[in-house]
Amino acid sequence: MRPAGRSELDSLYFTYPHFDAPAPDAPRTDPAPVVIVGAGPVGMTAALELARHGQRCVLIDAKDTFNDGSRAICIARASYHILDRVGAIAPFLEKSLPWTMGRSFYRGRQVLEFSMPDSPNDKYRPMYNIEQQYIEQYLWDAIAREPLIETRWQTRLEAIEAGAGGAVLTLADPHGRYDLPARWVLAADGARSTVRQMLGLRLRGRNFEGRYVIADVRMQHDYPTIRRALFDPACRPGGTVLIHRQPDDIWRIDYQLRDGESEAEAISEENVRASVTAVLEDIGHSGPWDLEWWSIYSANTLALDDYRHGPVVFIGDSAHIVPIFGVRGLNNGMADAQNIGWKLALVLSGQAGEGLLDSYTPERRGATLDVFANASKSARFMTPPSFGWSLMRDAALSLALHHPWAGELANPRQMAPYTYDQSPITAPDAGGPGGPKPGAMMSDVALGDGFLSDQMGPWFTLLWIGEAPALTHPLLKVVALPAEGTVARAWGAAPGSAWLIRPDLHVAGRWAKAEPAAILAFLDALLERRA
Amino acid sequence: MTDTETLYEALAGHLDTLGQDAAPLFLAKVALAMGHALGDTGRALAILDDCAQDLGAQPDPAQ
Repeated sequence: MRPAGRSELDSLYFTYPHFDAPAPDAPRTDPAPVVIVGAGPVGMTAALELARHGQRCVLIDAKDTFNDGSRAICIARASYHILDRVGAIAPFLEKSLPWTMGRSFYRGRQVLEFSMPDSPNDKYRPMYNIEQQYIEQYLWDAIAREPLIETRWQTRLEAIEAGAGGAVLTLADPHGRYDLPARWVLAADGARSTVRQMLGLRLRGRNFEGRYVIADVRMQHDYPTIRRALFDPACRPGGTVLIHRQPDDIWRIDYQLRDGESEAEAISEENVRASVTAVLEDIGHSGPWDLEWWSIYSANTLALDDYRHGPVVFIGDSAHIVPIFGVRGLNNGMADAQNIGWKLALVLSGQAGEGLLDSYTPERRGATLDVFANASKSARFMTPPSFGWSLMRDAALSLALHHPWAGELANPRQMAPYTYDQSPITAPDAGGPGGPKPGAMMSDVALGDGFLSDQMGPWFTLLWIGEAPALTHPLLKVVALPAEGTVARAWGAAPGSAWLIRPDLHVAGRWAKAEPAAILAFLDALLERRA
Repeated sequence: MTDTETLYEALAGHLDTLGQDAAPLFLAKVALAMGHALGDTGRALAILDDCAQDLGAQPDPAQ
Protein backbone atom coordinates (compact mmCIF):
# COMPACT_ATOMS: atom_id res chain seq x y z
CA MET A 1 0.00 0.00 0.00
CA ARG A 2 1.05 3.57 -0.59
CA PRO A 3 0.01 6.98 0.73
CA ALA A 4 -3.18 8.57 -0.54
CA GLY A 5 -2.73 10.09 -3.99
CA ARG A 6 -0.05 7.64 -5.09
CA SER A 7 -0.75 4.50 -7.10
CA GLU A 8 0.63 1.08 -6.11
CA LEU A 9 3.55 1.52 -8.52
CA ASP A 10 4.28 5.18 -7.71
CA SER A 11 7.54 4.69 -5.82
CA LEU A 12 9.79 7.42 -4.42
CA TYR A 13 12.90 5.76 -5.81
CA PHE A 14 12.04 3.12 -8.40
CA THR A 15 10.51 3.44 -11.87
CA TYR A 16 8.44 0.40 -12.73
CA PRO A 17 8.78 -0.71 -16.36
CA HIS A 18 5.78 -1.61 -18.48
CA PHE A 19 5.83 -4.89 -20.38
CA ASP A 20 3.63 -5.48 -23.41
CA ALA A 21 1.81 -8.73 -24.02
CA PRO A 22 3.15 -10.88 -26.88
CA ALA A 23 2.31 -9.40 -30.30
CA PRO A 24 -1.02 -10.53 -31.80
CA ASP A 25 0.73 -12.57 -34.48
CA ALA A 26 3.45 -14.07 -32.23
CA PRO A 27 3.48 -17.89 -32.26
CA ARG A 28 2.00 -19.14 -28.99
CA THR A 29 1.14 -22.81 -29.12
CA ASP A 30 4.42 -24.60 -29.97
CA PRO A 31 5.00 -27.18 -27.24
CA ALA A 32 7.50 -25.99 -24.62
CA PRO A 33 9.95 -28.19 -22.72
CA VAL A 34 9.32 -26.11 -19.60
CA VAL A 35 6.72 -23.47 -18.74
CA ILE A 36 7.43 -21.39 -15.65
CA VAL A 37 4.33 -19.79 -14.14
CA GLY A 38 5.30 -16.55 -12.37
CA ALA A 39 8.08 -14.14 -13.34
CA GLY A 40 8.98 -13.13 -9.80
CA PRO A 41 12.51 -13.60 -8.50
CA VAL A 42 12.10 -17.37 -8.03
CA GLY A 43 10.63 -18.00 -11.49
CA MET A 44 13.28 -15.82 -13.11
CA THR A 45 16.08 -17.63 -11.25
CA ALA A 46 14.74 -20.98 -12.45
CA ALA A 47 14.60 -19.71 -16.04
CA LEU A 48 18.21 -18.51 -15.84
CA GLU A 49 19.41 -21.79 -14.31
CA LEU A 50 17.75 -23.77 -17.12
CA ALA A 51 19.23 -21.44 -19.73
CA ARG A 52 22.67 -21.72 -18.16
CA HIS A 53 22.45 -25.42 -18.90
CA GLY A 54 21.22 -24.90 -22.45
CA GLN A 55 17.50 -25.52 -21.90
CA ARG A 56 14.64 -23.43 -23.31
CA CYS A 57 11.64 -22.31 -21.31
CA VAL A 58 8.57 -20.11 -21.57
CA LEU A 59 8.11 -17.77 -18.61
CA ILE A 60 4.62 -16.38 -18.11
CA ASP A 61 3.25 -13.73 -15.77
CA ALA A 62 -0.18 -12.16 -15.48
CA LYS A 63 1.18 -8.73 -14.58
CA ASP A 64 2.63 -6.09 -16.91
CA THR A 65 5.45 -5.12 -14.54
CA PHE A 66 7.35 -6.25 -11.44
CA ASN A 67 5.85 -6.90 -8.01
CA ASP A 68 5.01 -3.73 -6.09
CA GLY A 69 6.92 -2.81 -2.96
CA SER A 70 10.27 -3.78 -1.49
CA ARG A 71 9.06 -7.11 -0.01
CA ALA A 72 11.99 -9.51 0.51
CA ILE A 73 15.03 -7.37 1.24
CA CYS A 74 17.62 -9.68 2.87
CA ILE A 75 19.56 -11.84 0.43
CA ALA A 76 21.88 -14.42 1.96
CA ARG A 77 25.37 -15.44 0.87
CA ALA A 78 24.14 -18.72 -0.65
CA SER A 79 21.76 -16.77 -2.89
CA TYR A 80 24.60 -14.55 -4.08
CA HIS A 81 26.39 -17.71 -5.18
CA ILE A 82 23.26 -18.64 -7.15
CA LEU A 83 23.17 -15.20 -8.77
CA ASP A 84 26.87 -15.57 -9.51
CA ARG A 85 26.33 -18.96 -11.16
CA VAL A 86 23.54 -17.65 -13.43
CA GLY A 87 25.61 -14.64 -14.47
CA ALA A 88 23.48 -11.94 -12.84
CA ILE A 89 25.59 -10.94 -9.84
CA ALA A 90 27.33 -7.74 -10.99
CA PRO A 91 24.51 -5.20 -10.50
CA PHE A 92 23.57 -6.78 -7.16
CA LEU A 93 27.07 -6.16 -5.81
CA GLU A 94 26.90 -2.61 -7.10
CA LYS A 95 23.58 -1.76 -5.46
CA SER A 96 23.09 -3.83 -2.32
CA LEU A 97 24.27 -3.13 1.23
CA PRO A 98 26.30 -5.98 2.78
CA TRP A 99 25.95 -6.64 6.49
CA THR A 100 27.25 -9.01 9.11
CA MET A 101 25.86 -7.80 12.40
CA GLY A 102 22.67 -7.50 14.38
CA ARG A 103 21.81 -5.73 17.62
CA SER A 104 18.96 -6.44 19.98
CA PHE A 105 17.58 -3.98 22.51
CA TYR A 106 15.30 -4.55 25.48
CA ARG A 107 13.42 -1.52 26.75
CA GLY A 108 15.90 0.74 25.03
CA ARG A 109 19.08 -0.93 26.26
CA GLN A 110 21.29 -3.14 24.08
CA VAL A 111 21.26 -6.79 25.21
CA LEU A 112 22.93 -8.54 22.28
CA GLU A 113 25.25 -7.85 19.40
CA PHE A 114 25.72 -10.84 17.11
CA SER A 115 27.92 -11.39 14.10
CA MET A 116 27.22 -13.84 11.34
CA PRO A 117 30.09 -16.11 10.23
CA ASP A 118 32.31 -14.28 7.77
CA SER A 119 35.95 -14.51 6.76
CA PRO A 120 38.36 -13.54 3.96
CA ASN A 121 37.72 -17.07 2.61
CA ASP A 122 34.14 -16.12 1.81
CA LYS A 123 33.57 -14.61 -1.60
CA TYR A 124 30.32 -13.03 -0.42
CA ARG A 125 29.17 -11.45 2.82
CA PRO A 126 26.64 -13.31 4.98
CA MET A 127 23.77 -10.97 4.04
CA TYR A 128 22.89 -8.16 1.67
CA ASN A 129 19.98 -5.74 1.83
CA ILE A 130 18.34 -4.75 -1.44
CA GLU A 131 14.75 -3.97 -2.34
CA GLN A 132 12.93 -6.70 -4.26
CA GLN A 133 12.23 -4.38 -7.21
CA TYR A 134 15.95 -4.26 -7.88
CA ILE A 135 16.24 -8.03 -7.45
CA GLU A 136 13.57 -8.45 -10.13
CA GLN A 137 15.06 -5.72 -12.35
CA TYR A 138 18.55 -7.23 -12.32
CA LEU A 139 17.29 -10.76 -12.92
CA TRP A 140 15.13 -9.41 -15.72
CA ASP A 141 18.14 -7.67 -17.29
CA ALA A 142 19.90 -11.05 -17.39
CA ILE A 143 16.79 -12.72 -18.87
CA ALA A 144 16.47 -10.07 -21.56
CA ARG A 145 19.99 -11.02 -22.73
CA GLU A 146 19.10 -14.73 -22.84
CA PRO A 147 17.63 -16.06 -26.12
CA LEU A 148 16.62 -19.40 -24.55
CA ILE A 149 14.00 -17.72 -22.34
CA GLU A 150 10.76 -16.55 -23.92
CA THR A 151 8.81 -14.30 -21.53
CA ARG A 152 5.11 -13.67 -21.99
CA TRP A 153 3.83 -10.81 -19.82
CA GLN A 154 0.12 -10.11 -19.33
CA THR A 155 -0.44 -13.83 -19.76
CA ARG A 156 -2.77 -15.42 -17.24
CA LEU A 157 -3.15 -19.08 -16.39
CA GLU A 158 -6.80 -20.04 -16.79
CA ALA A 159 -6.60 -23.82 -16.50
CA ILE A 160 -4.07 -26.60 -16.26
CA GLU A 161 -4.36 -30.27 -17.02
CA ALA A 162 -1.51 -32.40 -15.76
CA GLY A 163 -0.90 -35.98 -16.90
CA ALA A 164 1.93 -38.46 -16.73
CA GLY A 165 3.68 -37.20 -19.87
CA GLY A 166 3.24 -33.48 -19.38
CA ALA A 167 0.71 -30.72 -18.93
CA VAL A 168 -1.48 -28.49 -21.05
CA LEU A 169 -1.85 -24.92 -19.84
CA THR A 170 -4.77 -22.80 -20.97
CA LEU A 171 -3.45 -19.26 -21.13
CA ALA A 172 -5.11 -15.93 -21.84
CA ASP A 173 -3.61 -12.62 -22.87
CA PRO A 174 -5.18 -9.42 -24.28
CA HIS A 175 -5.21 -11.02 -27.74
CA GLY A 176 -6.96 -14.24 -26.87
CA ARG A 177 -6.99 -17.61 -25.23
CA TYR A 178 -4.90 -20.63 -26.21
CA ASP A 179 -3.55 -23.99 -25.09
CA LEU A 180 0.16 -24.45 -24.55
CA PRO A 181 1.50 -28.01 -24.09
CA ALA A 182 4.50 -28.35 -21.78
CA ARG A 183 6.59 -31.33 -20.78
CA TRP A 184 7.29 -29.74 -17.38
CA VAL A 185 5.73 -26.90 -15.42
CA LEU A 186 7.43 -24.94 -12.66
CA ALA A 187 4.88 -23.24 -10.42
CA ALA A 188 6.56 -20.07 -9.20
CA ASP A 189 3.32 -18.20 -8.70
CA GLY A 190 3.69 -17.33 -5.06
CA ALA A 191 1.87 -17.81 -1.78
CA ARG A 192 -1.58 -17.69 -3.41
CA SER A 193 -0.46 -20.00 -6.22
CA THR A 194 -3.10 -20.42 -8.93
CA VAL A 195 -1.44 -23.65 -10.09
CA ARG A 196 -1.66 -25.09 -6.59
CA GLN A 197 -5.34 -24.19 -6.29
CA MET A 198 -6.18 -25.52 -9.75
CA LEU A 199 -4.56 -28.85 -8.91
CA GLY A 200 -6.51 -28.97 -5.65
CA LEU A 201 -3.39 -29.09 -3.49
CA ARG A 202 -3.23 -27.51 -0.05
CA LEU A 203 -0.49 -26.15 2.14
CA ARG A 204 -0.40 -27.68 5.58
CA GLY A 205 1.05 -26.37 8.81
CA ARG A 206 0.22 -23.70 11.32
CA ASN A 207 -0.13 -20.00 11.90
CA PHE A 208 1.55 -18.13 14.68
CA GLU A 209 -0.39 -15.43 16.39
CA GLY A 210 2.05 -12.64 15.57
CA ARG A 211 1.07 -10.15 12.91
CA TYR A 212 3.44 -7.50 11.66
CA VAL A 213 3.14 -4.34 9.63
CA ILE A 214 6.14 -3.66 7.42
CA ALA A 215 6.65 -0.05 6.39
CA ASP A 216 9.34 1.55 4.24
CA VAL A 217 10.31 5.17 4.86
CA ARG A 218 12.82 7.38 3.08
CA MET A 219 15.00 9.42 5.38
CA GLN A 220 18.54 10.60 5.96
CA HIS A 221 19.40 8.48 8.98
CA ASP A 222 22.90 7.89 10.23
CA TYR A 223 23.19 4.25 11.28
CA PRO A 224 25.24 1.47 9.70
CA THR A 225 23.70 -1.54 7.93
CA ILE A 226 23.03 -3.44 11.14
CA ARG A 227 19.75 -5.22 11.81
CA ARG A 228 18.12 -3.76 14.91
CA ALA A 229 15.52 -5.62 16.96
CA LEU A 230 13.71 -3.62 19.65
CA PHE A 231 11.97 -5.74 22.28
CA ASP A 232 9.33 -4.09 24.43
CA PRO A 233 10.34 -0.59 23.27
CA ALA A 234 8.74 2.62 24.56
CA CYS A 235 7.14 3.16 21.13
CA ARG A 236 5.39 -0.21 21.25
CA PRO A 237 5.11 -1.58 24.80
CA GLY A 238 5.03 -5.37 24.83
CA GLY A 239 5.74 -5.56 21.11
CA THR A 240 8.75 -6.09 18.89
CA VAL A 241 10.15 -3.78 16.21
CA LEU A 242 12.74 -4.60 13.52
CA ILE A 243 14.71 -2.00 11.58
CA HIS A 244 16.74 -2.61 8.40
CA ARG A 245 18.63 -0.20 6.19
CA GLN A 246 18.11 -0.52 2.42
CA PRO A 247 19.72 1.25 -0.53
CA ASP A 248 18.44 4.69 -1.63
CA ASP A 249 17.99 5.98 1.95
CA ILE A 250 15.07 3.59 2.41
CA TRP A 251 14.55 2.09 5.87
CA ARG A 252 12.39 -0.93 6.63
CA ILE A 253 10.44 -0.82 9.86
CA ASP A 254 8.55 -3.94 10.97
CA TYR A 255 6.35 -3.70 14.02
CA GLN A 256 4.15 -6.18 15.74
CA LEU A 257 0.44 -5.61 16.14
CA ARG A 258 -1.05 -5.88 19.59
CA ASP A 259 -3.47 -8.69 20.40
CA GLY A 260 -6.92 -7.61 19.40
CA GLU A 261 -5.62 -4.76 17.24
CA SER A 262 -7.64 -4.81 14.02
CA GLU A 263 -5.69 -5.34 10.83
CA ALA A 264 -7.90 -3.00 8.88
CA GLU A 265 -7.21 -0.18 11.31
CA ALA A 266 -3.52 -0.99 11.64
CA ILE A 267 -2.91 -0.59 7.91
CA SER A 268 -4.73 2.73 7.57
CA GLU A 269 -2.28 5.40 6.47
CA GLU A 270 -2.97 7.47 9.57
CA ASN A 271 -2.11 4.62 11.93
CA VAL A 272 0.96 3.56 9.97
CA ARG A 273 2.24 7.14 10.11
CA ALA A 274 1.59 7.36 13.86
CA SER A 275 3.35 4.03 14.50
CA VAL A 276 6.34 4.96 12.36
CA THR A 277 6.60 8.36 14.06
CA ALA A 278 6.78 6.64 17.45
CA VAL A 279 9.48 4.21 16.29
CA LEU A 280 11.57 7.01 14.79
CA GLU A 281 11.30 9.00 18.01
CA ASP A 282 12.49 5.93 19.88
CA ILE A 283 15.61 5.58 17.73
CA GLY A 284 16.36 9.29 17.92
CA HIS A 285 15.49 10.28 14.37
CA SER A 286 14.11 13.81 14.41
CA GLY A 287 14.59 14.78 10.76
CA PRO A 288 11.99 14.64 8.00
CA TRP A 289 10.87 11.36 6.44
CA ASP A 290 8.59 10.20 3.65
CA LEU A 291 6.33 7.19 3.80
CA GLU A 292 7.09 4.98 0.77
CA TRP A 293 5.13 1.74 1.03
CA TRP A 294 3.65 -0.64 3.60
CA SER A 295 2.13 -4.07 3.92
CA ILE A 296 1.08 -6.60 6.56
CA TYR A 297 1.99 -10.22 7.20
CA SER A 298 1.56 -12.94 9.78
CA ALA A 299 4.11 -15.54 10.79
CA ASN A 300 3.04 -18.82 9.18
CA THR A 301 4.75 -22.15 8.68
CA LEU A 302 2.94 -23.87 5.83
CA ALA A 303 4.16 -26.28 3.16
CA LEU A 304 3.00 -28.79 0.57
CA ASP A 305 3.50 -32.44 1.49
CA ASP A 306 5.09 -33.09 -1.89
CA TYR A 307 6.70 -30.34 -3.97
CA ARG A 308 6.12 -32.28 -7.16
CA HIS A 309 2.82 -33.31 -8.67
CA GLY A 310 3.57 -35.32 -11.83
CA PRO A 311 4.97 -32.88 -14.40
CA VAL A 312 4.36 -29.89 -12.10
CA VAL A 313 7.04 -28.81 -9.65
CA PHE A 314 6.41 -26.14 -7.02
CA ILE A 315 9.19 -23.67 -6.25
CA GLY A 316 9.26 -20.77 -3.79
CA ASP A 317 6.21 -19.51 -1.89
CA SER A 318 3.84 -21.71 -3.90
CA ALA A 319 5.41 -24.67 -2.04
CA HIS A 320 6.12 -23.13 1.35
CA ILE A 321 5.35 -20.06 3.45
CA VAL A 322 7.76 -19.26 6.25
CA PRO A 323 7.90 -16.51 8.87
CA ILE A 324 10.05 -13.67 7.61
CA PHE A 325 12.28 -13.40 10.71
CA GLY A 326 14.47 -16.14 9.29
CA VAL A 327 14.89 -14.26 5.99
CA ARG A 328 14.32 -17.61 4.34
CA GLY A 329 11.35 -16.94 2.07
CA LEU A 330 13.06 -15.65 -1.04
CA ASN A 331 16.42 -17.23 -0.21
CA ASN A 332 14.87 -20.68 -0.01
CA GLY A 333 12.83 -19.98 -3.12
CA MET A 334 15.98 -19.20 -5.07
CA ALA A 335 17.58 -22.42 -3.79
CA ASP A 336 14.46 -24.33 -4.94
CA ALA A 337 14.77 -22.75 -8.38
CA GLN A 338 18.44 -23.65 -8.73
CA ASN A 339 17.91 -27.17 -7.36
CA ILE A 340 15.16 -28.12 -9.81
CA GLY A 341 16.80 -26.10 -12.59
CA TRP A 342 19.96 -28.16 -12.97
CA LYS A 343 18.19 -31.46 -12.38
CA LEU A 344 15.50 -30.73 -14.96
CA ALA A 345 18.15 -29.58 -17.46
CA LEU A 346 19.92 -32.95 -17.11
CA VAL A 347 16.67 -34.85 -17.60
CA LEU A 348 15.60 -32.73 -20.59
CA SER A 349 18.94 -33.23 -22.32
CA GLY A 350 18.76 -36.98 -21.74
CA GLN A 351 21.84 -36.98 -19.52
CA ALA A 352 19.96 -38.13 -16.43
CA GLY A 353 16.96 -40.30 -15.68
CA GLU A 354 13.74 -38.82 -14.35
CA GLY A 355 14.45 -40.46 -11.02
CA LEU A 356 16.92 -37.65 -10.36
CA LEU A 357 13.90 -35.38 -9.87
CA ASP A 358 12.76 -37.52 -6.93
CA SER A 359 15.53 -35.92 -4.90
CA TYR A 360 13.95 -32.46 -5.24
CA THR A 361 11.22 -32.80 -2.59
CA PRO A 362 13.35 -34.46 0.11
CA GLU A 363 16.10 -31.89 -0.35
CA ARG A 364 14.03 -28.74 -0.61
CA ARG A 365 11.13 -29.75 1.66
CA GLY A 366 13.79 -30.82 4.14
CA ALA A 367 15.18 -27.29 3.93
CA THR A 368 11.71 -25.89 4.57
CA LEU A 369 11.15 -28.08 7.63
CA ASP A 370 14.53 -26.98 8.95
CA VAL A 371 13.46 -23.35 8.48
CA PHE A 372 10.22 -24.15 10.29
CA ALA A 373 12.12 -25.50 13.28
CA ASN A 374 14.38 -22.44 13.44
CA ALA A 375 11.68 -19.97 12.54
CA SER A 376 9.39 -21.40 15.19
CA LYS A 377 12.11 -20.66 17.73
CA SER A 378 12.56 -17.16 16.35
CA ALA A 379 8.84 -16.54 16.22
CA ARG A 380 8.39 -17.70 19.81
CA PHE A 381 10.99 -15.16 20.81
CA MET A 382 9.76 -12.33 18.59
CA THR A 383 6.07 -12.93 19.21
CA PRO A 384 5.65 -15.16 22.27
CA PRO A 385 2.42 -17.11 21.78
CA SER A 386 1.39 -17.51 25.42
CA PHE A 387 1.94 -16.45 29.02
CA GLY A 388 4.78 -18.89 29.59
CA TRP A 389 6.73 -18.05 26.45
CA SER A 390 6.20 -14.38 27.04
CA LEU A 391 7.40 -14.48 30.66
CA MET A 392 10.50 -16.51 29.84
CA ARG A 393 11.32 -14.28 26.87
CA ASP A 394 11.19 -11.23 29.13
CA ALA A 395 13.24 -13.02 31.77
CA ALA A 396 15.93 -13.81 29.20
CA LEU A 397 15.99 -10.25 27.89
CA SER A 398 16.08 -8.78 31.38
CA LEU A 399 18.99 -11.07 32.34
CA ALA A 400 20.71 -10.19 29.09
CA LEU A 401 21.10 -6.60 30.23
CA HIS A 402 23.98 -7.86 32.39
CA HIS A 403 24.66 -11.42 31.21
CA PRO A 404 25.74 -12.12 27.61
CA TRP A 405 24.83 -15.83 27.87
CA ALA A 406 21.18 -14.86 28.21
CA GLY A 407 21.42 -12.53 25.20
CA GLU A 408 22.32 -15.52 23.07
CA LEU A 409 18.71 -16.67 23.44
CA ALA A 410 17.84 -13.65 21.28
CA ASN A 411 20.30 -14.64 18.54
CA PRO A 412 18.25 -15.47 15.44
CA ARG A 413 20.83 -17.99 14.11
CA GLN A 414 19.14 -17.95 10.77
CA MET A 415 21.82 -18.04 8.17
CA ALA A 416 23.20 -21.52 7.48
CA PRO A 417 22.30 -23.21 4.18
CA TYR A 418 20.59 -26.56 4.62
CA THR A 419 22.65 -29.76 4.44
CA TYR A 420 21.29 -32.51 2.16
CA ASP A 421 22.86 -35.31 4.17
CA GLN A 422 19.62 -37.35 4.08
CA SER A 423 19.16 -36.91 0.34
CA PRO A 424 18.86 -40.02 -1.86
CA ILE A 425 21.61 -38.58 -4.11
CA THR A 426 24.14 -37.79 -1.38
CA ALA A 427 26.89 -40.35 -0.78
CA PRO A 428 27.02 -41.73 2.77
CA ASP A 429 29.97 -40.28 4.67
CA ALA A 430 32.52 -43.02 5.28
CA GLY A 431 34.68 -40.95 7.61
CA GLY A 432 35.69 -38.17 5.32
CA PRO A 433 38.92 -36.34 4.65
CA GLY A 434 37.87 -33.14 6.44
CA GLY A 435 36.44 -30.15 4.68
CA PRO A 436 32.76 -29.81 3.79
CA LYS A 437 30.61 -32.85 4.57
CA PRO A 438 28.38 -34.70 2.11
CA GLY A 439 25.22 -32.70 1.48
CA ALA A 440 26.65 -29.46 2.87
CA MET A 441 27.18 -26.40 0.76
CA MET A 442 30.86 -26.25 -0.15
CA SER A 443 32.76 -23.79 2.02
CA ASP A 444 34.64 -21.31 -0.11
CA VAL A 445 38.39 -20.74 0.05
CA ALA A 446 40.28 -17.64 -1.05
CA LEU A 447 42.93 -18.53 -3.62
CA GLY A 448 45.59 -16.20 -4.99
CA ASP A 449 43.52 -15.03 -7.93
CA GLY A 450 39.96 -15.49 -6.75
CA PHE A 451 37.98 -18.13 -4.91
CA LEU A 452 37.60 -21.87 -5.05
CA SER A 453 33.95 -21.41 -6.08
CA ASP A 454 35.18 -19.66 -9.26
CA GLN A 455 36.89 -22.92 -10.32
CA MET A 456 33.66 -24.91 -10.55
CA GLY A 457 32.53 -26.34 -13.87
CA PRO A 458 28.97 -25.88 -15.17
CA TRP A 459 27.90 -29.34 -13.97
CA PHE A 460 29.83 -31.49 -11.50
CA THR A 461 33.31 -30.70 -10.25
CA LEU A 462 35.75 -33.11 -8.67
CA LEU A 463 38.15 -31.41 -6.28
CA TRP A 464 41.21 -33.59 -5.89
CA ILE A 465 44.08 -32.97 -3.49
CA GLY A 466 47.40 -33.78 -5.16
CA GLU A 467 48.00 -35.03 -8.66
CA ALA A 468 44.62 -35.86 -10.15
CA PRO A 469 44.11 -39.10 -12.05
CA ALA A 470 43.14 -39.06 -15.72
CA LEU A 471 39.40 -39.16 -15.32
CA THR A 472 36.91 -38.09 -17.96
CA HIS A 473 33.16 -37.75 -17.90
CA PRO A 474 31.10 -35.37 -20.07
CA LEU A 475 29.55 -33.73 -16.98
CA LEU A 476 32.68 -33.58 -14.85
CA LYS A 477 35.39 -30.99 -14.45
CA VAL A 478 38.40 -32.19 -12.47
CA VAL A 479 40.27 -29.59 -10.44
CA ALA A 480 43.59 -30.69 -8.95
CA LEU A 481 44.61 -28.77 -5.85
CA PRO A 482 48.20 -28.72 -4.55
CA ALA A 483 48.94 -31.12 -1.68
CA GLU A 484 50.42 -28.34 0.46
CA GLY A 485 48.07 -25.69 -0.95
CA THR A 486 45.50 -23.35 0.56
CA VAL A 487 42.53 -25.69 0.22
CA ALA A 488 44.39 -28.73 1.55
CA ARG A 489 45.42 -26.66 4.60
CA ALA A 490 41.99 -25.05 5.10
CA TRP A 491 40.25 -28.43 5.01
CA GLY A 492 43.02 -30.42 6.69
CA ALA A 493 43.04 -32.85 3.76
CA ALA A 494 45.75 -35.31 2.71
CA PRO A 495 46.78 -36.12 -0.89
CA GLY A 496 44.26 -38.41 -2.55
CA SER A 497 41.27 -36.74 -0.85
CA ALA A 498 38.42 -35.79 -3.16
CA TRP A 499 35.05 -34.01 -3.07
CA LEU A 500 32.40 -34.26 -5.75
CA ILE A 501 30.64 -30.87 -5.98
CA ARG A 502 27.20 -30.52 -7.56
CA PRO A 503 26.12 -27.70 -9.90
CA ASP A 504 24.53 -25.95 -6.87
CA LEU A 505 27.83 -26.11 -4.92
CA HIS A 506 26.54 -28.76 -2.50
CA VAL A 507 28.83 -31.70 -1.80
CA ALA A 508 27.55 -34.92 -3.41
CA GLY A 509 30.24 -37.03 -1.74
CA ARG A 510 33.72 -36.97 -0.26
CA TRP A 511 36.41 -39.61 -0.08
CA ALA A 512 39.59 -39.79 2.01
CA LYS A 513 41.31 -42.25 -0.34
CA ALA A 514 39.49 -41.64 -3.56
CA GLU A 515 39.17 -44.34 -6.20
CA PRO A 516 38.43 -42.77 -9.61
CA ALA A 517 36.36 -45.75 -10.74
CA ALA A 518 34.21 -45.62 -7.60
CA ILE A 519 33.59 -41.89 -8.04
CA LEU A 520 32.54 -42.37 -11.66
CA ALA A 521 30.27 -45.23 -10.66
CA PHE A 522 28.68 -43.04 -7.97
CA LEU A 523 28.14 -40.20 -10.45
CA ASP A 524 26.61 -42.55 -13.01
CA ALA A 525 24.30 -44.05 -10.41
CA LEU A 526 23.22 -40.54 -9.36
CA LEU A 527 22.44 -39.63 -12.97
CA GLU A 528 20.89 -42.88 -14.06
CA ARG A 529 18.30 -43.02 -11.32
CA ARG A 530 15.10 -44.21 -12.87
CA ALA A 531 11.71 -42.93 -11.88
CA MET B 1 26.65 -26.36 51.51
CA THR B 2 23.92 -23.94 50.62
CA ASP B 3 22.45 -22.17 53.61
CA THR B 4 18.85 -22.78 52.59
CA GLU B 5 17.42 -20.55 55.28
CA THR B 6 19.47 -17.56 54.09
CA LEU B 7 18.28 -18.19 50.50
CA TYR B 8 14.71 -18.52 51.70
CA GLU B 9 14.88 -15.21 53.55
CA ALA B 10 16.56 -13.41 50.68
CA LEU B 11 13.90 -14.59 48.22
CA ALA B 12 11.12 -13.49 50.55
CA GLY B 13 12.79 -10.10 50.94
CA HIS B 14 13.13 -9.57 47.18
CA LEU B 15 9.55 -10.70 46.56
CA ASP B 16 8.22 -8.28 49.19
CA THR B 17 10.27 -5.43 47.77
CA LEU B 18 9.30 -6.14 44.15
CA GLY B 19 5.64 -6.88 44.79
CA GLN B 20 3.23 -9.32 43.21
CA ASP B 21 3.33 -7.85 39.69
CA ALA B 22 7.07 -8.23 39.26
CA ALA B 23 7.28 -11.55 41.13
CA PRO B 24 6.78 -13.92 38.15
CA LEU B 25 9.45 -12.16 36.08
CA PHE B 26 11.83 -12.09 39.03
CA LEU B 27 11.36 -15.80 39.73
CA ALA B 28 11.72 -16.67 36.05
CA LYS B 29 15.03 -14.77 35.96
CA VAL B 30 16.16 -16.53 39.12
CA ALA B 31 15.33 -19.93 37.65
CA LEU B 32 17.20 -19.27 34.40
CA ALA B 33 20.23 -17.76 36.14
CA MET B 34 20.44 -20.50 38.76
CA GLY B 35 20.02 -23.17 36.10
CA HIS B 36 22.80 -21.57 34.11
CA ALA B 37 25.05 -21.38 37.20
CA LEU B 38 24.32 -25.03 37.99
CA GLY B 39 25.93 -26.04 34.68
CA ASP B 40 23.98 -29.31 34.50
CA THR B 41 20.94 -29.26 32.20
CA GLY B 42 19.72 -32.68 33.29
CA ARG B 43 19.70 -31.75 36.96
CA ALA B 44 18.14 -28.38 36.24
CA LEU B 45 15.30 -30.02 34.27
CA ALA B 46 14.73 -32.54 37.07
CA ILE B 47 14.46 -29.68 39.56
CA LEU B 48 11.90 -27.96 37.31
CA ASP B 49 9.80 -31.13 37.16
CA ASP B 50 10.10 -31.53 40.89
CA CYS B 51 9.03 -27.95 41.57
CA ALA B 52 6.03 -28.26 39.21
CA GLN B 53 4.49 -30.87 41.54
CA ASP B 54 1.60 -30.17 43.90
CA LEU B 55 0.67 -26.86 42.23
CA GLY B 56 -2.76 -27.74 40.86
CA ALA B 57 -2.15 -28.66 37.19
CA GLN B 58 -1.80 -32.43 37.42
CA PRO B 59 0.35 -34.25 34.88
CA ASP B 60 -1.59 -36.34 32.37
CA PRO B 61 -1.44 -39.96 33.62
CA ALA B 62 -1.42 -41.17 29.99
CA GLN B 63 1.94 -39.47 29.37
